[in-house]
Amino acid sequence: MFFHNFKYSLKTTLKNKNTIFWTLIFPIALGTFMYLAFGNLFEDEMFDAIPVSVVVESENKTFEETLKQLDKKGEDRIIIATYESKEKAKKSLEDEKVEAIIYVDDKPYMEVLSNSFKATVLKTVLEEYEKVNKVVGDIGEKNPLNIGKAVETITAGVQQYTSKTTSEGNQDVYTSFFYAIFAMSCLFAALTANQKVHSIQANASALGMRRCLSPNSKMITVVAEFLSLLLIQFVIELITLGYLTVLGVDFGEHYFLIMLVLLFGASIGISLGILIGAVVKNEKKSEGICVASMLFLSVLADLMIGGIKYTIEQKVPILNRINPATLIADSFYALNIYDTYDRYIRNIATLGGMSIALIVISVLVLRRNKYASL
Amino acid sequence: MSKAIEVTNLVKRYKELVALDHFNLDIEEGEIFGLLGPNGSGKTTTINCILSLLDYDKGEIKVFGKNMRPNSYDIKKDIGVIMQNVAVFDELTVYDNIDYFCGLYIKDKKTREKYVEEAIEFVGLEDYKKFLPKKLSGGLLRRLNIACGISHKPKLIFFDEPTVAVDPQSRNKILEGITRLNEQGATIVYTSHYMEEVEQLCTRILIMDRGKNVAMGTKEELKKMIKNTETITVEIPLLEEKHIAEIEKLPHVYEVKYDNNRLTVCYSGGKHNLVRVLEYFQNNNIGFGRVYSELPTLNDVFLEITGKELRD
Ligand SMILES: Nc1ncnc2c1ncn2[C@@H]1O[C@H](COP(=O)(O)OP(=O)(O)O)[C@@H](O)[C@H]1O
Ligand SMILES: [Mg+2]
Repeated sequence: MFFHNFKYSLKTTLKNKNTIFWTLIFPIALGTFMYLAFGNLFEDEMFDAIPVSVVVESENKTFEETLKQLDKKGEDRIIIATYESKEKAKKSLEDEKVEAIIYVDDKPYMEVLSNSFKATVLKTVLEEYEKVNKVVGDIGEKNPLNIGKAVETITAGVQQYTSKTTSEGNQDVYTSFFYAIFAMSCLFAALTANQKVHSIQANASALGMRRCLSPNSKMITVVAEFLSLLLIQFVIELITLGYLTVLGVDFGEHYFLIMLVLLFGASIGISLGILIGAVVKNEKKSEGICVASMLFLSVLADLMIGGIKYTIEQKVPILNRINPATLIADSFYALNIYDTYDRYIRNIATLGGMSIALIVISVLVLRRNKYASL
Repeated sequence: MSKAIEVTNLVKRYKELVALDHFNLDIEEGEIFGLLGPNGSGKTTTINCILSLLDYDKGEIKVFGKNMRPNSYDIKKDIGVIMQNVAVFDELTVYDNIDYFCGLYIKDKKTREKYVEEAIEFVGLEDYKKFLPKKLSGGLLRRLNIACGISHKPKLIFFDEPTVAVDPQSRNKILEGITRLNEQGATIVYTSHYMEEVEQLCTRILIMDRGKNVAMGTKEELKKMIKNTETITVEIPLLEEKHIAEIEKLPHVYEVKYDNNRLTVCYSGGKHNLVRVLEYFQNNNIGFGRVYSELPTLNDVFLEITGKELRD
């Protein structure tokens, strides 16, 4: 009986070309758009060289050589140095023509206007110099031949830092778009589920009435519908994942665990849809409530606009622990950011637990044996 | 013979509206039982209560001698229902629709295949197996709806107004089919607001109005319940008042009306009524046109008991 229902639930869903088309096209189209719009932007974005004033207080060969190296024209250029007097330099900084003044001295130091990212980069220049200097000692004086090596080490350190911070930061924002797409596409599986559940209710459709007359329990019907929808939605998510991977989006190494997020994500979307369908019997109203709640959850999870999730974390953190949209997106993050799986497992378990709870409640609501009115 | 359905003192309210008011019903196995009543009289409500789809306020319902509950699966497996509204999957073909519903009752695959084919043949949809419902005409769709309800060979079948908005040809096929199902052993409960259908088809008839039992019996029994046994209508261009008074005095006549050049004479009992009234015209040199004699219909029964026409 279960397989009979399962088979026909699959068949009716798949035959509904419209639904399948839109469920599939939504993540793929949005993903392609994101990729085309931002993919190249982030990849090609270069580190902009920082304009600085250099004031020589006393000679320091190594440091001066380092600055020269960093000022070399080309892709790796980190600073644009202007050598000038202290007064002029101060004026330039005030007028914000330069980001900082670097003082060449035995112990080089600097003056910045703000604590920006650029200032941090410049600070690394000093730090890298200190580091190398400490190891090698007073490089310049004692062993002029080593200057070259020292400079190389310092510039390499600085460059590594800049390339790492720029690309990683942007990569996070970029992939988070795709996580949002997955989260939303999972949640919107609720719509199909919502439609389906009306066709098993006697008080919602003629078809539901006929299905209620058969000598079978509601539980079998509901679970069969749930699993068939889950299978279809999961395949759709996998197709999207495959497509985006081929397109060139980098999802990291944990593909199996990502698929697991998609499975549990689809499951929560479908069970939410089933519950709403079970509680709200009017088909149009039910569909409206479904769309509204999914959008609401997505907004709370910062899937569309930013900033709300953070406020929630401050005021009512529990909401972020149970909002399925947040949980799905956060599971992806957790996979890529943390070395341990604690957070990932907690998210997935919450999704699974809530899904089961929703289905159980739905069955209880749907089982309500007789109707007051049809 | 044992009882297929027993309904005792059933009361069903929709908020303030009392849809069924201490309604009683007894159906024997093997009958084609007709529930006749105007729109809104409570026929569908009765069926839905019997099927345990609707909650009711009072009363007792037994099917095959057992109390009917939503989870009475052993009773439900022997019931087939053809609802007023077509209930099929738009996404599935004719064959798949029937196979799906049959499969809810019949687990064995071989048996199921056989039953589905038989149902298709029964409603004459052999040429449409691969069609989607939206490609079917209204009449064919109704037939598919019937096939979905009967493919599992139920012992008790409900037909709720299966001929509404159906062309005459499909309608006759449906009525023939119901008779055949009955001959094969199924008990039929048939609702309609068309008295001709019910008269033609049903072995026993219950006439209901506003959720109440108006009269029950075979059509002959029902007709015996009322005073009228024959109505004679004569077209007469001109008729004097005195003649009308004379005709009223003829034997067995209980009512005479004359308007629109038509004389209507109602009889209660008696034989050769037509001959007598025609004799009267001849003897008095009254010219007349067409003459009809009608036996009472269920509409007359309904009219006489409730004071209104069955069809509005
Ligand atoms: N869901 C409902 N809510 C309120 N009133 C209803 C509902 N269904 C039927 N009724 C009312 O109950 C009465 C009986 O309806 P119904 O059983 O459908 O009649 P029938 O099938 O004989 O046409 C009608 O007056 C109808 O308006
Ligand atoms: Mg009705």
